[in-house]
Amino acid sequence: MATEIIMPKLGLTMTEGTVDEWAKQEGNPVKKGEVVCTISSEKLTYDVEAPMDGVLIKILVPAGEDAPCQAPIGYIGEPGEQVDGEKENPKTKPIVAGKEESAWQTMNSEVMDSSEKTSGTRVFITPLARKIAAEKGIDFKEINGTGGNGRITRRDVEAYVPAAKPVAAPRDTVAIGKGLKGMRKTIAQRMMASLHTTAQLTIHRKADITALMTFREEMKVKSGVPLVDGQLSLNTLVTRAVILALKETPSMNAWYKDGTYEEVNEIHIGMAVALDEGLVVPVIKNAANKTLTELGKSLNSVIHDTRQGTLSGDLYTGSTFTITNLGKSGVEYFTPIINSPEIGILGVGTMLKELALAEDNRVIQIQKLPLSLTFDHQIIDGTPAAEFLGKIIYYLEHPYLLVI
Amino acid sequence: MMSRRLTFMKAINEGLEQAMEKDDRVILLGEDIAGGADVKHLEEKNEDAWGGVFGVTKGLMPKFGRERVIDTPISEMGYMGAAVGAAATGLRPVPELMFNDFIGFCFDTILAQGSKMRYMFGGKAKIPMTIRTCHGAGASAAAQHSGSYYGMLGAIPGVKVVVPSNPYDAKGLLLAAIEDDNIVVFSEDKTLYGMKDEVPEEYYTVEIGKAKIKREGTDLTIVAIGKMLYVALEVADRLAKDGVDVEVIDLVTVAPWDEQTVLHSVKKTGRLIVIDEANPHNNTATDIASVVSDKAFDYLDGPVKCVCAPNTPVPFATNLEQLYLPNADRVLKEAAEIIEDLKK
Repeated sequence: MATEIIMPKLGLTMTEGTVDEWAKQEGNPVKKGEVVCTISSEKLTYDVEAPMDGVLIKILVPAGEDAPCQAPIGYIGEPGEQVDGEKENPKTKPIVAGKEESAWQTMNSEVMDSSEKTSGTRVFITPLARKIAAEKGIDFKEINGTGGNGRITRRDVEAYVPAAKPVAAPRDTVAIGKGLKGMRKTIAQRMMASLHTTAQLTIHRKADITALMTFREEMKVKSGVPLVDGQLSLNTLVTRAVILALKETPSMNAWYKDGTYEEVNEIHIGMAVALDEGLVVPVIKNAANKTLTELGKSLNSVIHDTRQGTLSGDLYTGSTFTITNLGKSGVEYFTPIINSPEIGILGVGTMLKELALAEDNRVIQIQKLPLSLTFDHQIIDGTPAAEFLGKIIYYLEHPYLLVI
Repeated sequence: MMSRRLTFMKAINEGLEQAMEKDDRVILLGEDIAGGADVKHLEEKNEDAWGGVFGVTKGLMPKFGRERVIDTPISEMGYMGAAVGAAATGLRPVPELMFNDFIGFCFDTILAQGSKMRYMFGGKAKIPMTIRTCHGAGASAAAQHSGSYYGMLGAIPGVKVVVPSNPYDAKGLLLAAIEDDNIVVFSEDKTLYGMKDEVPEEYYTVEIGKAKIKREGTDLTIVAIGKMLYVALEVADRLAKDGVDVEVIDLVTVAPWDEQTVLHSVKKTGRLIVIDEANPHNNTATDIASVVSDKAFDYLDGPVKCVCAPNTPVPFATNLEQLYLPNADRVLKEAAEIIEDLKK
């Protein structure tokens, strides 16, 4: 009895994966746990291991093709074993045109490579056909030419029936990410999907973090525990403030996808990390249950693993709110794009030194942190979103609350 | 009554006879067109005189005498010059250039003198002269007796050129040419001389400059010159089996050719093939293609195709000569790109 190799589901939002490469070919012996193929999805590649000892008897999904999650992509069995029921490739097979090419068509295709025509570089049309097409208001580029050299003739224009167009032409989703590969393609598709399915609005406000920075220095000195570098980083403190604000604002810790709105009990924070290949968002799961130092450790750990490419597959998806930081680049405010299906994303800018009047009218130096909150206006309105940003700022300006 | 059938050659002969009967200013000049001059037993109205190298003028000398049917020395320049002079001074000469390949010998009399006199003398001199000559490959007559140079002559301002494709047109065009007050080259295809068809007994003319639609069609126009008409008709027959409706035009007059009829047809069908037995460059077919591309550009549904002889002299070997002549297979092949998509 043959055993299926299945397309793994590596995250909540993963629906299908692409087989990048088969490490084994049909007929090769495999050992349980040995890598049989590499798949890619969303933002990562993943090695699929053999579920048992045996022989790779059938590859269902060849390299380069997609398969839905949990669908079989191959079989392992005894040498010579046949797959019972011969399951079909989950992808629909292309319909092969059985039309015989006449000598004339062959001659035509010799005159001009058909790809040249379909690529739209140059359309050949007779003067008469061009005139008739113009009179009829037909875009002749859509007409198939049957004349010499593939040119469009009068008869082609007269025989042309325009394809019925839907009243509201849907976005050509296939075209998004076209010409891009791997992670870039995924990012393109996800960013466009986010912009197309949400009503995004970004609000900006600065937090006074003078007290926070003082508090951070005191903590470092007084904790008595040797802190690994970054455990009490500004990033960690901001994340903690966000977590506390999210606890009080359930509508911001939610998913809205395909017509389903769901508030999530746990808080899973996505942290945008820039890699050379593109942006990835590793997740700190159950972030609300972590102490400040645990949170710092987790942050350091996922960012490190992400950069090394060793992050576990399940830590790439499932975040409920995302934080992205352009502070290191000197950016103050920006308009982050929501990491769908989340409701909000916080953009952290660069820390600024400013002059201000103290209560006793002295001019003092303070430190400010520009924050940009993008939210989905479908789910939350401007005032509650501003209140949510206000809560984050309140926690940052009252740092002792971060450790309670 | 049109039941009487004559050969192409006899139709020309009858035309000459009727022209000479009608108008005694009409004279014939040429090499051996009477035959037997200065040969004692052939002198005077000898019924057996040769009547030209093909016998086209046979019987005319006995009827009209050596004063009007003049055997000339073998000097094209001499008798063609004499004909131009005779035309300028009141006669209506019909000189015969035995083969159009010999045009070089007498070209000056036509090109530099005859064709320009009416223009240069402000219309005071007319040159009502009809040059009979013959063209065409297919008679195994070798390169110096087989060329088709009507297009070359048609390029000269002031010279009209007609190329009949059948006995009826041959007689009518010849009479129209003799009536015309300008130089008209009447170019006979030597391979059509034996062709028989109905020819009216009476005097009649066929209009110079008017093409004839030989077969009406809507899909494709073929314009043919002279015997190429029969190639065009064969193509039309063969394409009809594939559901292609071909219009065939006999150009009849090479200069000035009938733009109106050709353009009207092309505007109807959108496609044009011209079949011309001349060599492929600077000929009548290329001229038609040029004018049509200019004046009917917006009506063209494909490139204009010219099917002509190759760019060589006419071969002597009969097998090569057959390859030289445009035929239906060649037309279907060379113009395939504007034919194939019409087939149903």
